[in-house]
Amino acid sequence: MMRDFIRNRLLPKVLKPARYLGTELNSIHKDWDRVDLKVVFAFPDVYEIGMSHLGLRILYHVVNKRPDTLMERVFAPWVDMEELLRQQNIPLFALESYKPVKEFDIVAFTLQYEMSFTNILNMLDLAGIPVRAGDRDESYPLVIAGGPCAYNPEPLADFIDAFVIGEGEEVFYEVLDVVKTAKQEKLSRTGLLERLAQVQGVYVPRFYDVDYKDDAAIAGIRPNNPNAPAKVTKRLVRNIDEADFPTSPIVPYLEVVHNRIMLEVLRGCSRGCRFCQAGMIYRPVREKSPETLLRQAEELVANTGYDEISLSSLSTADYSCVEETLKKLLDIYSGHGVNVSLPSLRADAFSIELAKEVQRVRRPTLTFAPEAGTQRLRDVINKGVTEEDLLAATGAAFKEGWTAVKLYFMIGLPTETEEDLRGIAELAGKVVALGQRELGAKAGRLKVTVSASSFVPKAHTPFQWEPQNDIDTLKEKQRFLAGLLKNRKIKFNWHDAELSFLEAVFSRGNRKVGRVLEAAWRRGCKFDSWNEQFSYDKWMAAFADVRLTPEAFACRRFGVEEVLPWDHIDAGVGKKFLAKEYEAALKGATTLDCRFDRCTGCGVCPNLGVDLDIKGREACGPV
Amino acid sequence: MARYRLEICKGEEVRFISHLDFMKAFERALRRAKIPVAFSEGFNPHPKIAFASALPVGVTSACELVDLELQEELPAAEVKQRLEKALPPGIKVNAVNRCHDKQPALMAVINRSEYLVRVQAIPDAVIHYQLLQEAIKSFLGKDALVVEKKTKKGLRERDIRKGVYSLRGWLEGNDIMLEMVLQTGTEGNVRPEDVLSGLISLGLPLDKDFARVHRTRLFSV
Ligand code: SF4
Repeated sequence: MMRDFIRNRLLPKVLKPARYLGTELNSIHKDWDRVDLKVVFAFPDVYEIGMSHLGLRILYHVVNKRPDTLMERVFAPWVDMEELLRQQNIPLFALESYKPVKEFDIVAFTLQYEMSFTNILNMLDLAGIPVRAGDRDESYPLVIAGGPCAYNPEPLADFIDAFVIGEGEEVFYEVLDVVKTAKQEKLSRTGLLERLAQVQGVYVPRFYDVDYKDDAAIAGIRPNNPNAPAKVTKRLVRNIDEADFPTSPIVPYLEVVHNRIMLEVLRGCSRGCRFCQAGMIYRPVREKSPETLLRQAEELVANTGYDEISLSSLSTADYSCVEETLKKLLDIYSGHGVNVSLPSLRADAFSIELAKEVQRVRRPTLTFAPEAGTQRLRDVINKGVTEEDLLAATGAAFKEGWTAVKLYFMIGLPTETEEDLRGIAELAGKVVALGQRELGAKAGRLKVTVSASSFVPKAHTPFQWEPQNDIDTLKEKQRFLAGLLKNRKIKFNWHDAELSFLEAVFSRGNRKVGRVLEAAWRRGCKFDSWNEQFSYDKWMAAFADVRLTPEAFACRRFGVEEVLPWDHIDAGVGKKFLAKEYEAALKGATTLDCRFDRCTGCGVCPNLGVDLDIKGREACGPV
Repeated sequence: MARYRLEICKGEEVRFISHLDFMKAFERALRRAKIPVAFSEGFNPHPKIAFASALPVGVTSACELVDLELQEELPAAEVKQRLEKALPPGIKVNAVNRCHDKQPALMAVINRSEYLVRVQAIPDAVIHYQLLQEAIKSFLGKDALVVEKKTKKGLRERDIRKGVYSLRGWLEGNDIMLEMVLQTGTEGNVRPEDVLSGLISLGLPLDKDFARVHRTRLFSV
C-alpha cells in the first residue's frame, strides 16, 4: 500500500515527518467511494504555514459537512520530501487518503502570497498535472484558486482554470454543485467552465482576451464567450454572525505558526490605510455578537484542548464589543490555564487597557504599527495615529511593566523623503528615551525592535497606481536607516528588497508575467519566500528568458486613466473612490473610518447590497 | 492536590511526533477530557505533567510513564475513563494509579529501557543467523565501543558499551529482531540507533535508516 510505503520508506528520511501524517485530531477521513465529488485543498507552502490559515479551517469544514463531497489537504512538500517523491516516482498525494492529487475532481489552491506562486506550478507538476490550463482536458482535475491574491489573478491566468473572487463559504457550495452536475452529465471542460463562469464571483481567464499597448500596459480586456460577464464581482458573506464557523478544527501534532484557537471576531476593516489591500477587499466590516463568540469559544476549547484563544481579525481592538467579550472569556478560561490573546493592537491608550486585561494570564509582546516616521506621511497613507498616541501608548506600556515593544514601519511609501526616514529614527529614539525614563531600574532590559518592510503597490488600493522604489533605492534607504538606528536598545530588521520587488511585479503584473513565473519555476525557483531557497539570480535569468523587464511592472507609475490588469475584477470598492483617495493622499488629506463617522462612499455597500454590521455600539458605548 | 502515575502507549499513528509535540498532544487531551490538572505558580504557569523519559521521533512505545498532579482528588478509574475518550488515535492509556505524594519524581528514578527493534539488511546484503550472533557476541565482548552520535552540536564520538546491559537477536523471515536493555536518562543515555551503529561497525550490514524501534519497558535498578 502506498501509505505504508511512504510511512516506512520515506518519512524516516525527512525533516518533520509529522507534516505528512494526515491523522491529526479532528481530521476527516471519508469513504472515498461513497462521495460524489472529491476536492483537495492545496496550500502552496509548507504544512506549518498552511495549517495556520483560517480559510482552510473554514472551507474544510464547509465541504466535509456535505454528505456528497469531501475535502482533503495537500501542502507543498519540503524540498527533502520532494526529492524522495521524484526519486521514487510517487505523485503528490493528499494527506487524508494518501490518494494522488490527480485523482481528485477539484484541486483548490489558496493564494495568500505572491511569492508562493512558483510552488503552485511545482505542486501541479509533482501531481502529474500539466501546469498550463490549456493542456488539461476532462481527465485532469479542475484547478481553481481563491484568496487575496486572486484579486489580481492575471499572473496565474494561464495556469488556473477558474478563480473564485471573494469569501469562499457560500460561493464554494455553488461551485461544488456546478462541478458535480457537470461530472454526472459528462460535460466537456469548456462546457463546465461556461457554467462556472455564470456563477457570481467566478472568473474563467480563458474566456477573456487581453489587448496590449506594450508589455506592461493594457489596451483592453474583453470577454470572448457569451457566458462570461464583463466584470466579475466578488462574493461575500452577508452575516458572519450566522455563518458556519468550524468549532472542531484539525489540531496539528506539529508546532505550526498559529497553534491555537483562532476565533474570528469580525471581518473587514474600514480604517482605510491607503496601502492596505486587506482593508479594501474585505469590506464592509461585519461583526459577530459576543454571545456567538462565547458559544464558539466553548465548543472550540472542548473540541481541541488548545491552551490559547486568539481573537482574530484585521484589527480586533476595533471590535465594538471587544472589552466585554475579552473580560468574559478571561473570567471563564483563565482559571483553566487557557490564555486569551489579541494579535493586533492599535497604538492608543485603549489598546493598553486591553493588553493589561490580557496579561492576566500571560504578557504578550506589544506591537505598534505607526508605518511612517512623520505626521505628514502618516496623513498621506491615512494611518490615523499621531506621535502623541504612540508615545502615550508605549509610555503606558512601560509603566505597566512591559520592557520590550515592536514598531512596524514601511519604507518607500509614496512621497517619502529623507525627513520621513529620519522621522522613523527619531520616533524610535523617543520611545527608547521614554522607556529609559519610565522603566527606571529595569531600563537595562529595554528593547525596542524596529521593523521596516518595503512598500508594495497592491491591486484595488488607492496606491495601486504608484511605483515601487527600485531595489537600489530601497537598499540605500535601509542602509541610511540602519545608520540612524545605531542604538544598543534598538534592534533593526528589514525585509529583503529583492523579494519585495518581485512581490510588486506579481501584485501588479498582467498575463505576460505568467511566462516569467513558468520560466523561473523551470529554472528551479520554489519556496521563494524562504531565505535559503530564494535565488534572485534565477529570477533575473527568467525575466531574460522571456524578454520582460520587471521594472515595467513594479517601478512604473500607472496612469489613472490606464486600463489596469485587474479592471475586470470588481472588489466592490469602486475605482473612482480609489482614485479620489489617491488624490487625497497626495494632498495629505485624511479620510475617516465609516464605522465611527459617516459613510465615505467606497461603494461596496450599495454595489453589493450589504451593510455594515456593527454589533455593540450602544451596548458597549462609542469607542 | 493529588498525584497520579499513568502508563501510556505511543502507537504507530503518532510515531513520527517529536517528544515535545507528543507531550503537547497529551496535555490537550487532558484539557478536552476536562481533567483538572494543577498548575505551577508564577508568571508563566504551566501544567504539572512530567514524563519519565523522552522518546525520539520514529520510536513507538508500550509503556511511557507520566506523573500528573490534579487540583482535586478523582478516582483513578475515572481519570482513565475520561482520558480514554479524549486521546487522539495512537495514544492509549494502559493504567492510572493514584500515588503517594512523597514518591520521588519519575525523571529521577527511571534509568533503563528495554527496546524491541525490527530491522533489515541493506539492499542486496544477507544476514544469516550465524553472522548476527557473532556480531552480538563481539559487541558484548568489548569493553568499549565508540560510535558517532548526532547531538545538537553535530556529530560526536561516544563510548556506548557501558550503557548496553543486554542484547539479544533472532530472525523473523527477512527481518532481524533485536532486543536490548539500555541506559536511559540524562546521564549516559544510549539510543537503539547507537546500538545499530555499533553492530554496523562490527560488520553487520543493517539498513539503519528504516529500523522500527519499539520501547517495551521502562524501569529502574
Ligand atoms: S460603502 Fe460606506 S459604509 Fe459601506 S464600507 Fe464603504 S464607506 Fe463604509
